[in-house]
Amino acid sequence: MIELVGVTKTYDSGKNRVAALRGVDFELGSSDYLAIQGPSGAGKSTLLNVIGLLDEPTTGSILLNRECVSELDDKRRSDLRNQVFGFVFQRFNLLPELNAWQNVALPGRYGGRSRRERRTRALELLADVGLQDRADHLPAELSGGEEQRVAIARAVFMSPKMILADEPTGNLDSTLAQQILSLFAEIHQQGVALTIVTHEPSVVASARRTIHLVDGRVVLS
Amino acid sequence: MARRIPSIVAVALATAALFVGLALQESQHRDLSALVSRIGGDLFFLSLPSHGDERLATQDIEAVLALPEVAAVAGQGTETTYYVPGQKYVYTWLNVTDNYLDVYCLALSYGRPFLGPEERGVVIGAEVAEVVFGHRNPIGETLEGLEVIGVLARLPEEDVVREYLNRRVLTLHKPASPFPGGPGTDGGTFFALLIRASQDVDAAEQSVLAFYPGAQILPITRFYSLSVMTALALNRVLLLSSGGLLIMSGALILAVLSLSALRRAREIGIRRAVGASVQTIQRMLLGEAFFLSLLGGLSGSVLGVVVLLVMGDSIALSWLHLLPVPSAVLIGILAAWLPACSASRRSPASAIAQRGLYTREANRSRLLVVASTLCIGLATCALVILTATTQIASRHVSQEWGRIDADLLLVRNPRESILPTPDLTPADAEVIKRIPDVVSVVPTISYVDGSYGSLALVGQGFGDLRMVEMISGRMMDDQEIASRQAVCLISDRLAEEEYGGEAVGRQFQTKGETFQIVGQFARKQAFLKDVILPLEFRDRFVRKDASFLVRVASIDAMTGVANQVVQSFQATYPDRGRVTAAPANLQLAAVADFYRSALLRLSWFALVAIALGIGEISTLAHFFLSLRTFENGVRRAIGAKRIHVILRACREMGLVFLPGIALGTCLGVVLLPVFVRTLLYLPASASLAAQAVPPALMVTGVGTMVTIHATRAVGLSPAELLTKGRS
Repeated sequence: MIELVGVTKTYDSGKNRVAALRGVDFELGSSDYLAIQGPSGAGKSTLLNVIGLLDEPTTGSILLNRECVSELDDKRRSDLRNQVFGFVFQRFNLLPELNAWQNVALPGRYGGRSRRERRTRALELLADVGLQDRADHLPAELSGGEEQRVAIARAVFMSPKMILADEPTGNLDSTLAQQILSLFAEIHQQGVALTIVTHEPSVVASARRTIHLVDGRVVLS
Repeated sequence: MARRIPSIVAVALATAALFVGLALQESQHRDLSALVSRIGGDLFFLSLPSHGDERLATQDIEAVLALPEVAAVAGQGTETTYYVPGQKYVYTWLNVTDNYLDVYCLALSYGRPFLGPEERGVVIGAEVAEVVFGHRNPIGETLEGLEVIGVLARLPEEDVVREYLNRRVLTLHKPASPFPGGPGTDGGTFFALLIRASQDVDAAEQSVLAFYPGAQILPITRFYSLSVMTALALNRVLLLSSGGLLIMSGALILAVLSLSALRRAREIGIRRAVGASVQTIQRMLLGEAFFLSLLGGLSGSVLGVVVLLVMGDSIALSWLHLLPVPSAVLIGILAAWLPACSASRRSPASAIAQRGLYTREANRSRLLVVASTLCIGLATCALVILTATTQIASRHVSQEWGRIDADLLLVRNPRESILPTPDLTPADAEVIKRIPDVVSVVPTISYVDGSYGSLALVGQGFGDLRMVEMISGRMMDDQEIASRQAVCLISDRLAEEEYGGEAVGRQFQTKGETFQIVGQFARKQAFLKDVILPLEFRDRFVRKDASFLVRVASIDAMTGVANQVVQSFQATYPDRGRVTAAPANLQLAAVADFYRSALLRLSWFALVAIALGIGEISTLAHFFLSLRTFENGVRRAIGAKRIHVILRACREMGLVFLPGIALGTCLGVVLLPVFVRTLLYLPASASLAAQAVPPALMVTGVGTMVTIHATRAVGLSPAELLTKGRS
């Protein structure tokens, strides 16, 4: 489904240049459940951002279904982020002024869904993650686990082909983390590919495949 | 919506300030127009040399009207005075052209103006209607066989230039005289042309003089030139103030909405992450900016009306008041444009990772600091110029006009009487002195000397009236006046022309008599004379005019005393015409009122501008400090005391704002002389204090508002700060 060829990513930080990725090559299938591991600063989040078209590689190519997407214009890349990928962040990144169902429905707004459709679908997804009674609550009124479940519901709103999660259980206790992993497992069973950046063994154990990243290079797959 | 309220409030405040500024400017402009129109500020008379037989014809009107500097021309022909024995009343027929009323800006209280070459219609003055017809509206009745078609609105008696029109009968083309003493036929010729300048009176005068070399020009504004100059200067100050407020308002809206858009970088990143394109984000931000600035602009306009009502100033609305809301919207969209472009083009990953502008690096971004510094600098510069010009204008007005007595009554002889012995004599003072509430009576006689301009012969008590402002030497004392000592006072203008400067101690000669100059006075509108002599020398002169200056016990008694003076003279001298009694300085008092209201408006301008400036700083400080919430939470969590955080915030905000204030002050001090010279035509000499007040207030405002914001910001617990900062 996705293929990375010689991907590098370098950040300019004042006088210093930091190489986050130094030539990454690997493939992701449409039914993969991949865990990305590595020490802090190894480039895990950067790799996830590049895969999900949140960031552009400095060099190298990203092929989606054999089509090069790293040089597409913004509109096409935006559409792909909206239709193909779903994102789950460690810090949830819900919009504070929107309530739970509005946060979930946010991708639908950019995907051309009507308000009625968005609300119906968002409430269904909230029910799926056990938050049907929290639909009108603002993020500030939700617990960490609830916020992350809202974030997951948002990620699957447009029925993406792949979920990209950046340490989704990093801010949660083990019980809540287990609930989140169960949700991911259900999503994967529905045919959605999963790529999760994590430090946690329980997440790694649930994944079908693992890659290790050190200093911006894949050292073990 | 709650997060948008500070932005809406800031835009509303700026719009309200702009609204109030425009309203004050419009009020001022309206008052000035009324003043200029009332005193004929753009009018002058043209007449050919009196020694020749030349008269101006209809072709001359057309020729003068063709000059680009001239807006309108009317002709004025024969004057014929007519006595009504039954009423012992004198009025004057005057041949004019049919546009005379329009050019002179004369209003009618009844009837209509001339509608063409009407030979059988006349327009009469208000006093003629009252005295001759016994009521105010004799439209349709006849005067010496001619139909009264209009009655002029009564001109105030203190309008010495035009009040004679109360006693005029205006006629267009009088046929052969139907009554004894009636006007003859002018045959389409005129003694004088009344000319209204299109823009600059001086330019129009020069142009007309070039057309008629040797002709005589009588500008109506000559007596009021100081009024008009100062009034125009004050108007320019207010115009400048409006411009300053416009700049400040624009800077505030720009700063607030720019920061508002910039601080949402993370939100924009999230929206981009879930599929929003660059265009979608730009449309969203610009749409929000439109909505915010529209709401703020509308609220500000309502607030502006409320402020005007509180100020008690009459609301002079004009098309300019349609500007604030579109201006706010336009500036709002411009303000959101750049941040919208830059924020939407950032990679979603970096926008999310950097948490927008909630970072130290972003806070210190050069663009943000430079933009804030410029905003504060512009505001300070506008404030420095505004307060300094206010002080300069205020000082100029007070120096120029000094104290204006409103309780002086001027009693004049029946100037147009055709009866013998019309002059008032010193003995007539006894008639006035018997009236209650009269404090003192001083006879004066005016005489126009061809060489020296206007002379006045004054009686005892003149010094007590304080009509003139002594520059050097001393006032003549009553003993000198009574004992016919050959002393005199001369004006500063005459001293300069005749003696090249100081003239006290020197001698002045006229009518074969030599006078010792004992004092020098300022020639000003209150007493437009060049030489003042003791009244006892009146036998040397052919008297032109006679009057009494009467000081009344209180301004409330003025009307009663004036009526009693007229009645007393009628009773004492039944065969004389009517004397006139009108406040001597009411015109000046009206001008002074104009200045006072202008200075009051300037003070309001300054207050509004200072409030806006501090509001601008406060809003910027609020935005800057809100960006540090997370950082402050971390600092507090690791042990920083509240005072440390507050001091740190003050120091950092000082580094952002103080350079702007310093820059604005320097710019204001440099630009001030240019503004004052080019816009006010006044010497630029504002005191250091006037220039120091705005920056001092700004610094105080910065310190206070930053401290308040910082104190409020750290009022939360470290955990709350962290939570709030993250969200």
